[in-house]
Amino acid sequence: MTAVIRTQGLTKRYGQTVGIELLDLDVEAGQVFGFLGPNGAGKTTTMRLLLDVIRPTEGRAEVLGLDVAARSLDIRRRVGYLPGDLRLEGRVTAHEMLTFLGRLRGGVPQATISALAERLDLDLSRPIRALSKGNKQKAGLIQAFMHSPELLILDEPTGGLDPLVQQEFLRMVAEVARDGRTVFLSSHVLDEVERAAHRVAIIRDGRLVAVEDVVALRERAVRRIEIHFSEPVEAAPFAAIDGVVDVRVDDRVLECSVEGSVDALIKAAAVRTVVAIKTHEPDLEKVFLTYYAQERSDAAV
Amino acid sequence: MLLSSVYGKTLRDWRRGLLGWGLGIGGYLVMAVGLWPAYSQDAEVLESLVAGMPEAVKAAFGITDLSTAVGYLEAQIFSFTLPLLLLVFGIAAGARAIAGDEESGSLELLLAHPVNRRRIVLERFAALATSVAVFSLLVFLILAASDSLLGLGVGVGPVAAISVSLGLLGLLFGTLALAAGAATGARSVAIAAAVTVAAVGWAADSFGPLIEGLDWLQRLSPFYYYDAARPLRDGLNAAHAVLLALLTAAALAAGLWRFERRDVGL
Repeated sequence: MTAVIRTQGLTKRYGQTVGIELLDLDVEAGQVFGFLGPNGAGKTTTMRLLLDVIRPTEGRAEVLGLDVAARSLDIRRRVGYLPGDLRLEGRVTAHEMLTFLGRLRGGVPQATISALAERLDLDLSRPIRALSKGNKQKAGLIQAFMHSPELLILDEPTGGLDPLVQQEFLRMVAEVARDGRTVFLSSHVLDEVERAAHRVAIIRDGRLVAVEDVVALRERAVRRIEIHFSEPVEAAPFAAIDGVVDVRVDDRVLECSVEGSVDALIKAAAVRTVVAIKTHEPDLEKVFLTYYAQERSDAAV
Repeated sequence: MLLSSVYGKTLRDWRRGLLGWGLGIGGYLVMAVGLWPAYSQDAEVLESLVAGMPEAVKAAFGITDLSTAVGYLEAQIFSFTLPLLLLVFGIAAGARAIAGDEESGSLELLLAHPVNRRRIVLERFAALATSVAVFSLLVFLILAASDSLLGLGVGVGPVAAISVSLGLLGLLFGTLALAAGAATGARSVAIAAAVTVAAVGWAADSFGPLIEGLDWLQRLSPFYYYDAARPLRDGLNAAHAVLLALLTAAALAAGLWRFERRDVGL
């Protein structure tokens, strides 16, 4: 497999503050690669470096086998990019803006633009500046997808999109991957990356914490679960289950954290009468802490 | 057609503003020149008025004699108001061309396309130059028509000369703002840089000659090369025109050099 994105020691500092530090990243062709981290972790900085919008302090990056510092124009021809902080202005209609951006790439068929607009449910005849945040985001997605690029770099692509459009977006991403093309997308929400990506890189404070398959990540994700029973319960039998920690019982309500599979917990609970189960989104901080704990124990060995 | 290049798209985005500025500049010029016949009725009063003015006031507003048409045009229109209009347009458009777009966030999207930074700056500059040239042409047409209709006795050559000088001056300050914006990415810096050069330059050109031993000061000012050679009387001074164009090119090259090397949009 060839690397579509490869960074070596990529570093960007802004004076004293670190954007990213010594980032080594490999994204292989045909993957949907998620870039996960809290806001300010360095995701946008990395993507801007790949597009040559900003220049690295140290290190280098290759995109599609080409050096970013030397061949950016050739790279940009073959990449679609959605900026994280997409702001579109102007009196021109969405259709005119997309036509203009298409012509900068040597022209994109009108039918392609219309088809994408229909899929995402965007009215192309409206002036760009009159569009809502979600509709601007759709226009941004269309310009990134419309020339069928070999690589899509999408910074927080689902921001502002309603759930139905998010579903359509996920289908579009899956189609790109089926074509053997590559998607590199960032998010600060674990669930979003889980749904879209095959592989995930986790970044925090400008440093790469881990790169994992989504399946493995899901197994290690810590979920907060709340079970309501019909009668009061004891904490002890649940605390004994492997992977269940942080158990708290308040009369008929059990609260605990589960790492990986919830199967054993559910089977233990099913012995009694369960009124309701609530699960909370995996907390990104907890995922990081798991990895940090892992790193430390690895270092100790 | 206008959607096929950065140049065309820029002009398209600016078209409403250009129409407004065209109407403003043209309207002002028609009105100001149209007042000349009424003005000239009182030539004697005007002459005594000018005689009583302090030298500093006369120098600041380019007043020599208000009793001839050329003197009136120089003092009332071309020494202050019309250059000021062109400067305000040029600086506003120049500051918006790169820095304004960068601050609004739209430059990042453009940079993600296969367009290199040099081309973006040069095509935006070309849009600025086209706009200024259109205003220059407008000034030429109105002034040439007035010249023959009102019998001002200026002549086509000097009319063309002042129009070209005016355009070069407006383009220089517009380019200063564009270049400062391209170098820094801040619209406020772009405007401040161009306005500072304009204010200091205007002061040096107006008051330098009045201070003994400092008359060389005005030769450092772009305004000196705009009208010191009296284009409305003597036609275009080629050396002065070339100097304005070279200053413009130097500012553009400096802005471009920095823009190609820096981070965009933070």
